[in-house]
Amino acid sequence: LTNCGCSRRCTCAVTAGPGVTVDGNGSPSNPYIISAGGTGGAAIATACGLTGDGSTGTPLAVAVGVWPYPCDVDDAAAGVYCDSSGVLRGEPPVRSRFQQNSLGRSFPAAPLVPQPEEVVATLDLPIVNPDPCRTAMVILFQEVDADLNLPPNSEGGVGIDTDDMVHLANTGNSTISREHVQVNKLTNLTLAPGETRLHTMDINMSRGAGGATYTRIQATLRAWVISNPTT
Amino acid sequence: VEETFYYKYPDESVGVRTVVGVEEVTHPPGVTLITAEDYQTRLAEIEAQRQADEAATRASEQSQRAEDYEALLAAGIPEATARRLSGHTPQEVQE
Repeated sequence: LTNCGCSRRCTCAVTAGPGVTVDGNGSPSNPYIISAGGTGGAAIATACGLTGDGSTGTPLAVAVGVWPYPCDVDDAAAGVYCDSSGVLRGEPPVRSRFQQNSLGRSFPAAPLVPQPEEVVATLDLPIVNPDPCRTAMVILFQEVDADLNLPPNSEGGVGIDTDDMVHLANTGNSTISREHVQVNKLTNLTLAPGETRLHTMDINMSRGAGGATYTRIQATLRAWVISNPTT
Repeated sequence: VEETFYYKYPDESVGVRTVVGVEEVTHPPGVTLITAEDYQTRLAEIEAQRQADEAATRASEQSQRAEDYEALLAAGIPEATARRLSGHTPQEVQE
């Protein structure tokens, strides 16, 4: 206050701004006392997400909705977090992904259906959990088609991995050409966060007899990967 | 992203493979990658051969049934019975 002509008493006008109170008149016996504002003394500007004005009666608070669910908020609610730049962040988003590998193979030589079980084709799929945070549930669809030629008194079967799924036999007296069967399985896998797992499907044939042959094999693997939280 | 590959195998079989969502595709051991046109050509050849083989099998079996039918008739078996026993039907001849 040295530049405003003060001697025994300051003659400067002191005006309280927002959120501030000024007491006293600047004299030695009654000096100015500048204090933070009292209750609701001045409005504090807030943007989305904050309520209150910082006063004792309406303190600044995070604006929240009313919990509308029948479950308990303490047990069931997701969290709110602060990131490295000081920004509020929510739960990581759930992720999903679809992958497929399919093969159709035609055999000019029409190989014999093997008698003991034998792998006649293999298909694989590297299944990826795109979520670096959560385990993922995988719905895995496995499908095999086979076309068989069955002369009289012949038989043969096809299956997935070690499971024989179809067996066909011709007990008549004329050939059944290109008997076509399609079998499939639906199963599940669980992948760790970010995991890639190579799933291999073997197509087996077995119980071949009487000159049964196959002319075509088609196979498909489809994976739906979903990282929804699971219990 | 969907990708399609066409294969020729060492045993002369051919294949078409479609993958979705696979970043690094590995091909089966021993296959040769061929064009879609080569695949279609080869598949058409296999299909034609298959149909020819099936027609030959069918004709052979029909011929055998007709022989059986005639033999049964010659042995004095009634015609309707000979037809059922042999599996021969007159309309087969017209195919």
